[in-house]
Amino acid sequence: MRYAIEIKNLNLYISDRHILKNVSMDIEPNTIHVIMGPSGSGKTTLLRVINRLIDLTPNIKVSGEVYVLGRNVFEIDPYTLRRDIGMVFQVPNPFPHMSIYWNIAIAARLNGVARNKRDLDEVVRWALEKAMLWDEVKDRLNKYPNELSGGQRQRLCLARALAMKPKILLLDEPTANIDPVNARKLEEAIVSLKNDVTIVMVTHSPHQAARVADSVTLIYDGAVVEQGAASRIFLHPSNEFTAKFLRGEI
Amino acid sequence: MLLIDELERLRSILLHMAEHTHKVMIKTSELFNESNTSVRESLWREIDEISSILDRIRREFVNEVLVFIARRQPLGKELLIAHTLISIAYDVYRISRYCREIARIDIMLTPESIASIKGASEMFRYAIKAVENALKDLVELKPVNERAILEIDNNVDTQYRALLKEVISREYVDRSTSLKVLIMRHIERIVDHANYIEDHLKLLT
Amino acid sequence: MSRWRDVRDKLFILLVILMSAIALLPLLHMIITIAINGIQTIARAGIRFFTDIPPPPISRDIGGIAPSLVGSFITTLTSLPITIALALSAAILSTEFPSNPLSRLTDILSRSFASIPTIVVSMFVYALVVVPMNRFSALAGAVALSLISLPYAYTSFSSALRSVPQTYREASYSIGMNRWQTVIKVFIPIARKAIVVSILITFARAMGETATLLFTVGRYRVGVNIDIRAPTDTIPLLIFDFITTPFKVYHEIAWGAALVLLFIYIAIFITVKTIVKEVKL
Repeated sequence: MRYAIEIKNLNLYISDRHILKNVSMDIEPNTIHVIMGPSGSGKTTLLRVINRLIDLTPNIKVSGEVYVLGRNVFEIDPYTLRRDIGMVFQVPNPFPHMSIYWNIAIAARLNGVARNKRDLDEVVRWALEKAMLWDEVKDRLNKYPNELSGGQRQRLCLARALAMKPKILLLDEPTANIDPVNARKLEEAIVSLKNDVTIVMVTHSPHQAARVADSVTLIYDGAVVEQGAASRIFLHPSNEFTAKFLRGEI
Repeated sequence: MLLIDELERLRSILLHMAEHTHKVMIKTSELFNESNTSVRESLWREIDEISSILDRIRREFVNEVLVFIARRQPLGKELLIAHTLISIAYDVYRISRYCREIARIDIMLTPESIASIKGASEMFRYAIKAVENALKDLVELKPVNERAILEIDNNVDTQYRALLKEVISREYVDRSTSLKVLIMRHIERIVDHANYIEDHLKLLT
Repeated sequence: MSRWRDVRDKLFILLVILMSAIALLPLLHMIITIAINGIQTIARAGIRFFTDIPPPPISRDIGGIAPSLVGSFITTLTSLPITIALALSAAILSTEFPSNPLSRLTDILSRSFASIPTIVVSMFVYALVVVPMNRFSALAGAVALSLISLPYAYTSFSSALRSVPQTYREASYSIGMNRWQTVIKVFIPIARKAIVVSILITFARAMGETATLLFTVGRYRVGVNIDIRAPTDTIPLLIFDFITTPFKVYHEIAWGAALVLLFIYIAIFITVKTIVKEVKL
């Protein structure tokens, strides 16, 4: 399979407002693809189409094709689709009623990654190490997420998503609500995951995109402005919008 | 201040430096025609002074551009321009240095002058043309006169090579020829730097 | 200038404290009165207050309220599972499918039925259950209590489920849970304190219903019946009947019964505060 994700001519309307305008995008496996753009340009909406979380929004009309791992997302059962895709949200949302251990273990058990206690322990440790949180919580796995800081909660959410052993990881502005030190740790963790998953990340910061991206799509007002290899776009943008975005003017 | 405005401010400092280099070149060319010793002495002093000021300005300028890069973290064309400003600052400074070296030869020749060295004056005029073209392009930030400068570069290179060949072919070389080689070498380097300026500007497109 | 502001500040605080005290005073007075009168009765009757049946009208012996005590618990505890099952299911459905016409209907119905007079419900259940069965029964009482409790239980379960932030739905979907797994493994556990509180309040209100049970349970207090098809009595009904009689011993029994009810309420509310661990979002 050439591309992990292929989007062809995607148009999305929410309550008759044209939110995504003829978006096309191809994402290669085991790369970090960043969707960047100013606030309100439709980046989060685009991300949510990939794992069909967009179904939770009422009054939507969609046309176009979206293929994830070769399958058309609109033709398969969304719950099955989501088992291959992990997601981390803008505001950290670990399950408050489950311990740190179980937040991760439930994702593993639900998706058949591990069943017995020993396997679950192993997956929990693996996921926390990949999310660079193991050292900070290894002595308090049975405590609850409300004892963790925002940055730690977000890494916990990353570990939870990883415990599914997904093939694709979607990140919706994951560092937007975290302090800079934790944000860097999270970025480091994300970059180190490239070999295990294909990553699609949304951000409104061109610098964050420059730090982590292999390839980039710039979305403005629901349409693709420019996309391609990160090294090219961050040095030689071919579009005035892109140049303005890089300068921080839009 | 807008990112582009700050970049503009830095660029104007560079253009200011370039003006000084141009002045140094003109003064150096006067050395080829002036016979009065005291005039030549004052010319030498001015050339020396301006080129050492340019060195100081260049160091401060490079530091300012680095601070700009660290603070504003430019991307895209602005990052390329910042890099270009640092590179060209060095070329502009080196041009004035080579002029100073030529002026030093002249002052040590006193009471004679480099005017006596055949062909040197003409070559230096080419160098001035090359540098003036490069500085014009710097104002526009576009390598318009690339071809012209390349031509001069080739010309000067050819002459320099011919001179070297002549030196190599003989066992002993007379005073005038060896001085000419020295001066030609400086002129060749000046034109090289004008060419480098064009190269840096080409990267911006 | 600022001195006057300080004085005004303190006066306002004083006023608020005074008003709160005035509001609480009747409640305190009520509790104290019940306590004083009730304790006298129960002290004199001893443990038999909870095991004996009420005495004949002219009697020195206080007897007990056993039929009403047992009856109250039987009717309430029978109605509770019915109420919870129906109300929780309806609440889950209307949270999962808010735009479904059935959900909207349920919402409207629960709001309208919340204010139906309880005595009308009692009459209704009389016609529907007592008459066909040909007798009063605890079952009829339970049905009536369920009907009364449903609107409140539905509304509070609904609001408990709705109070769970949508972000947890997204989180559970994103790890591959389907709709029902989300409800059972995520929403209900997160809202558990609110749900348990709703259940306990429903229980408390059911225990205190009077008019609802007037034409349904039969006021049978000469023996303790545990069969739900048999007639029985409840504490509020007992109090209602005994207070309106001219007999002193019955008045004393009513005060004792009132105190017992009060204790049950206090026990429920302490349970509410301590038993369920709060889920800190």
